[in-house]
Amino acid sequence: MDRFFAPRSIHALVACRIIFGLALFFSYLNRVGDVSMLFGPDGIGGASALARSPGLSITRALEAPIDLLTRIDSIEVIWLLYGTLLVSSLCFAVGLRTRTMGVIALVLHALFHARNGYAFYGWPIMFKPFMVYVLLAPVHRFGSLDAWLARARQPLVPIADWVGPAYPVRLMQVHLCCMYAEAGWSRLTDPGWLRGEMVYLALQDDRYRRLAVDWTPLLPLLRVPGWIAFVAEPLAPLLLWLPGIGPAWAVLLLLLHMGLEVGANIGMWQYTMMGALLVFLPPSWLEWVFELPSRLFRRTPAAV
Amino acid sequence: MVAWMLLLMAGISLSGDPLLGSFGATARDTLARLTVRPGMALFKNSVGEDKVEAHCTSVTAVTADGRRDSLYAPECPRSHFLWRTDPQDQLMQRIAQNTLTRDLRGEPVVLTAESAFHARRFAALADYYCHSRSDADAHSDYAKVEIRHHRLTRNIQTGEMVDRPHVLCRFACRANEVRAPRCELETDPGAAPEADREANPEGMERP
Repeated sequence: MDRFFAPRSIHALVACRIIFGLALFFSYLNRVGDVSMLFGPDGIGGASALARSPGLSITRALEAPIDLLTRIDSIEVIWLLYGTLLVSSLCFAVGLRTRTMGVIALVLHALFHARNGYAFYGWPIMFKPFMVYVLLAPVHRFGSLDAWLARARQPLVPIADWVGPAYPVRLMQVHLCCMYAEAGWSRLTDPGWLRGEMVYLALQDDRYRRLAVDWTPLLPLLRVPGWIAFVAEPLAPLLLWLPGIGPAWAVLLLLLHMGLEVGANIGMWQYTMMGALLVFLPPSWLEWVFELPSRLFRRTPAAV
Repeated sequence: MVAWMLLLMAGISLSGDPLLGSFGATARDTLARLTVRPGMALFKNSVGEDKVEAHCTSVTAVTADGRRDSLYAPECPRSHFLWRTDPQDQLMQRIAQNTLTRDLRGEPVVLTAESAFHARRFAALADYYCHSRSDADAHSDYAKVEIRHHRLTRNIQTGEMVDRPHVLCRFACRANEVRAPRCELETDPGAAPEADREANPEGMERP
């Protein structure tokens, strides 16, 4: 157990910081034209509606204790919080005042999600704990503007030495496996999944698909990724931990999520899962990615 | 370590073992108090041979003097590339469409105490449109809101497309009394709306 929780590479969590920060930023930027409707006091289930009838609350039981935005009857305050969320999530991604901005972004995201969970697909639910795990790690020290601005006082840490406590990585790993277990194991007797039709369904459903094309003629081909997903996700909680197979399985799942992102629009689901999956990749692979900018600009690959 | 164990127990409980399941339920309850869910059953309970391809929803509001304003009527099914999800589409999907077709299994909706949560959020959606009048000369809110929904379903064995059911939900806009919309199957969806039809007929359940 000591070995399991021994300090280890946190390259994946540094990458998660960038991915999650940008995902949060773009997700909320997408809602800039609908802030009043989705989150404002005159919006659906807002303070004005509750003043007419308390029965118009749309807050779900799970988020009820933190639904504070419903009590705010000023759209200016909502806009201020919304703007703060955009700025803080971007700062978190680039690593400026990393931890403070990360905490602000997480808290505001939790409040906006509690105010109107129907403004999102399900990804914010998993996003919140994943973000906590990133914040628990010293991601501000590596690949961040914070580290770069402080380089006069504290030399930049070489990319190969981005090490931190293991517990945030382990929490991310076990939570990701719980996610795949619940998603994958619940489908094992599902007729649509057994027939390999669910990737087709995701691509064909007008609510999710990006391309307005009829995929039906390609259904026999689409059964292949459908069956791959049917097998890959339920087995992930076991196989991701095996030394020889784990990284390959993580790559398979990454490709699956990438494919779904290209074909279907399900909010930030794929980015949330792809970011989290990085914790199962070998650190050397991520080191190579982080060193890429240095290589491209022909500098020494010692630090970013 | 505590958080790690909670997640592990919550995850292992999915294996179906009764003893582990009781431990897992405790772990899940504890996590739920922190608004944390160990996982989510995505794309579960898929349909059989018939695949719903499009949910078509529109919202029309009627003023006191009978003018009808179309408040939401997206192209359905879409014929263009979608690089992002429109938040209003998403809201409509997750509240109106899910309520009308999945959560209530596509039956003509009679929102009762058993579906109080569905009724509440559906009423909140309609109430929003009731008070969304933005005309410069508007002195009052809308008198009623109508939400229409139908779905296009394809049988992937035969290729047959079916356009049904057509559901019409009516919601009376009242200042101090909020009632759930009443929904019924439309027998003749193409017929012109009756101008004098009662917007909030008897028999509607309170949310």
